[in-house]
Amino acid sequence: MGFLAPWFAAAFAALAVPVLLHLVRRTPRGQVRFSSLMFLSPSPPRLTRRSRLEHWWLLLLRLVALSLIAVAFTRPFWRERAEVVSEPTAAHRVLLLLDTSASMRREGVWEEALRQARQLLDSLPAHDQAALWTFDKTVRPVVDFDAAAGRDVLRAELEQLRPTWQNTDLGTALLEAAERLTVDESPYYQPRIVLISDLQEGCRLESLRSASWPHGVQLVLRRVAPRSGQASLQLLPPDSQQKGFRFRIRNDRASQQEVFRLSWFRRQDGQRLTVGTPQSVYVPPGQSRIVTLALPDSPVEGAELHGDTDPFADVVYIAPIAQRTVPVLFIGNDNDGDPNGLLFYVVRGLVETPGRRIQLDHQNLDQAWQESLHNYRLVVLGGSPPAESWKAIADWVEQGGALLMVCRTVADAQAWAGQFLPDLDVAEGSVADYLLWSDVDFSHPIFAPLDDPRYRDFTKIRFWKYRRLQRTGEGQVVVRFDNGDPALLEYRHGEGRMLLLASSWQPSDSQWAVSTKWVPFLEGCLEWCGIRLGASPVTSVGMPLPVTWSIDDPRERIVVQTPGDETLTYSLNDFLQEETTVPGLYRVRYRDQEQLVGVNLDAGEIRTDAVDPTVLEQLGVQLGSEPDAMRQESARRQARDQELEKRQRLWQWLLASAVAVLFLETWLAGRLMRNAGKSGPHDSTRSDNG
Amino acid sequence: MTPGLLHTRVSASGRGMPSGAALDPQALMKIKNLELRARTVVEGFLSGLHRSPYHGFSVEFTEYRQYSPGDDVRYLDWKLYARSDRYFLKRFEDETNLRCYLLVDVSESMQYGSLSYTKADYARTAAATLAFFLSLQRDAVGIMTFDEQVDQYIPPRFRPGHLHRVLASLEKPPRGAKTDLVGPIEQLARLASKRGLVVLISDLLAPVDMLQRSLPYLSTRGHEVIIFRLVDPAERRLPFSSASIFIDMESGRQLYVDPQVAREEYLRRFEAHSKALAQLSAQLGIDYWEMPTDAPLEWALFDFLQARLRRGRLVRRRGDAKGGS
Repeated sequence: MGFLAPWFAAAFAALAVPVLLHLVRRTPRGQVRFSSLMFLSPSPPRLTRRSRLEHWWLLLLRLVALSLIAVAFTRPFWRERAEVVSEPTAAHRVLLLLDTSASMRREGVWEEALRQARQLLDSLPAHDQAALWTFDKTVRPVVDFDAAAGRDVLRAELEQLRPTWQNTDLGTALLEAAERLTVDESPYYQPRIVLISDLQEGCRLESLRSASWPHGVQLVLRRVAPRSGQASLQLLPPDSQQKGFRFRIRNDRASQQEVFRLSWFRRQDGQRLTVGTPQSVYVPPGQSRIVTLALPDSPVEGAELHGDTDPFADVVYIAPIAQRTVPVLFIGNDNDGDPNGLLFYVVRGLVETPGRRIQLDHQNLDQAWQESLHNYRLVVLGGSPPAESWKAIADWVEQGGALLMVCRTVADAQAWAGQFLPDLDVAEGSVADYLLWSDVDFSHPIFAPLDDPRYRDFTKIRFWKYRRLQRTGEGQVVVRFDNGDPALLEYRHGEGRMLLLASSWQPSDSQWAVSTKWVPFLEGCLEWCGIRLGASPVTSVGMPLPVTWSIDDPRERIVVQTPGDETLTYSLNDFLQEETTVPGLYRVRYRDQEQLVGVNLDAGEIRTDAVDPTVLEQLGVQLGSEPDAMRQESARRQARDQELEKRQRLWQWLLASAVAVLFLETWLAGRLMRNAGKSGPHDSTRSDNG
Repeated sequence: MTPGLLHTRVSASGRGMPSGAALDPQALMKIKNLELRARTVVEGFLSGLHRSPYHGFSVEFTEYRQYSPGDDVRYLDWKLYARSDRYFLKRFEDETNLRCYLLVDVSESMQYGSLSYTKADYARTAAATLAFFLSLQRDAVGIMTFDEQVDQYIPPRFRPGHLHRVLASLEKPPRGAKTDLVGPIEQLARLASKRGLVVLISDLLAPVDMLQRSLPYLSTRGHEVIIFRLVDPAERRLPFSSASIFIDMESGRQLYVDPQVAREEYLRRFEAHSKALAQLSAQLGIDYWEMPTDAPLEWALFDFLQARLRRGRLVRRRGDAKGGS
């Protein structure tokens, strides 16, 4: 016979209580309230030997009842029936979640992770279910629970795994794994996630904040640590005030080095050659320094950190930004030094960036510029050219040109309408006081960058003169005045597009050119006509390669040469969606243009300091520990005993017997009381005898 | 009157109670209304005496005093003026009549009763009986109920509705506390500036030395004092048979007592206390009457009148002696 809760046998000590009570029970039957005790003296308590002799049946019944209750609480069961009971399946469902992010490439980390994974698979009992998932920025189920694969398959798949160069999203991975374990919840399987990871600082746990950890799923953390601390190099965005590139050197708290050297390099015959003189940097452990390194005259591919014991994250690839020239033509009889004209503000509004240089050409309306139109992507027409020139403009627009037509007068608008929209009704608008822009289409490429509550305020730009355009045909109204008349219209003509401006930015017409919206408007016009310049040619692993050139023909193929000298060809859509997987220099070719793109490790991935595991607990994750073999055996035995006890339910019979005995005891006690009441003296006083 | 209400006995304590029918207290206590209870006792008592209440011993001669400027004109006797054409003031009736202070103990020990009523019920009825009787004689009756401090106090008056107030105050439920005879008696001595009759109705379950300190307050101020000590039959005999936990009703103290063992000692102490009280009363010139709560209430009235008569004779004897000398 076995007992599920043998410690309740201590309740047998309670058997002494009725015995003592029977021994020391006093004769008083109750209490008497009396007026005063001033004449009474206490009587010595007397033991009644009679009670031991007369009520031993009562005592026996009480002892039996207490014993039965105590035995019932120990949850007894018969062991000899164990053979007929099937083995309970109290097992674990273990999901091995292996970190394959780039930080696992640090020295000794991946080997340790594999060793721990192997050890875990070996130690798992046969009846436990196991799955193998990996994660970096995404989660990949390698072997799931559903697969009928045995441990050998798991081990084989494990040996095939390699760390990637991607960043880590541990929070999402944990949530997905926990969700997987709760999908088909079984009472016989205790869900457990075994996480093998370096748990570095940049592992991103934000998603855990917005989700609740499922109840019952335990996370067992098997942390793998690198052999030593290391330093990492990160490329920072360029500072417009300084020449050269800025780098952040971060030194781990566990690092042994403090002095590093930073230098440029270029690759030659598969080897990195140092270019220029290395710059010495002192970074104490646990701190970081920002260093600016000027570009040398000779071409370089990136910067390298020397003096670090671990080569991880010591190289940063850069790509020189090739400044491209963007030709823009302004046609109008304006002087670029005249603040009352249009050109004055265009010259000052189109600013130069590291990636582009604006070549703004100016032609008078009556000059011979018609033949040279095809050299420009954007033409600003600040007036009405001679009638014969309109044909050339129309042809150029039809072939894909972008025209910004400014209606300074009614005649300008009518001249444009005569060529493109004969039905357009143009008149000088009447303005009582001033007009504002009130209905701006922020989904239009020109105004999309201003689609933010902080920038959407156009009420400070006043317009005093405008041309009233009616019967605008298929034109898309981008902006309206507050009186409802169109202020900016877009028309398509052939392959090209035209913007028709019902007013102008010269000071006699409006305040527009002197407002904060002027430069964004011109930038928006460049974007509108497909000139995508100035994008940084440096990105991080996992992001698509940036487009740094003008997309003239979306059907054109794009050729990418990876750092491993692999050549891949993409359509534009595929190119925009394809993520990079390896750091290095990518060579992108589009038509005759070629662009180098530097792809580096994610900024979060190089934050390699260890995270305190209690952070996971603070985020609601239920941390647990792995059961050892002895404990598992004990748990199995306990589960088997529980199963036996549950089936036999002896405690119910014992409690029922105890209740029956108590009824018998009550009956006997009542009978004894009645007999005592009949034979004993009866007080005539009003007292509270109990 | 039903035979069950009759209680015929001869005084066992040798009182000079004439033999006759008296009301059984148990039957009397079934009358809920305190005033009706008192009236029943008094009228039964008077019918046995065949004496007019308006010729009682406390009626004094009324005197007149000639008016002098400054006297309250309300007390001018206009009938006398009509007759005599003189202004005379009528002396206050309460100056000439008896002022009786009923001092009733309502402490927790008075809530004990082995009969169908408690000592407090009996005390209230006795006080109401005395108050009713005195008011019939046009005497002024006041009342003070107390436990360890004064609970209620109504100064003696004789005026319409006053008896009702007195009876109403007696009907109020007791607060229930310990007995302290010193404080309330001291307070009564301060309040009762004019001499009168003080009737103390209590079980006197307090140390004798406490009474020794308090009672002289009254006697030295010229008050006549009558003590009715109420004793429950169970207190006199301790008739319990089984050992029990006895709980003191006043202090809540608990004591394990086997009555069979403790009875002898109890009765000895109880008698000693009674004797000490009687002795103290005799020393102080106080009329002390022990009144079992199963005795008819007429006895209380009879004892009261006995005391008054004896006091009257005593006074007269003193007066005679004074006059003789």
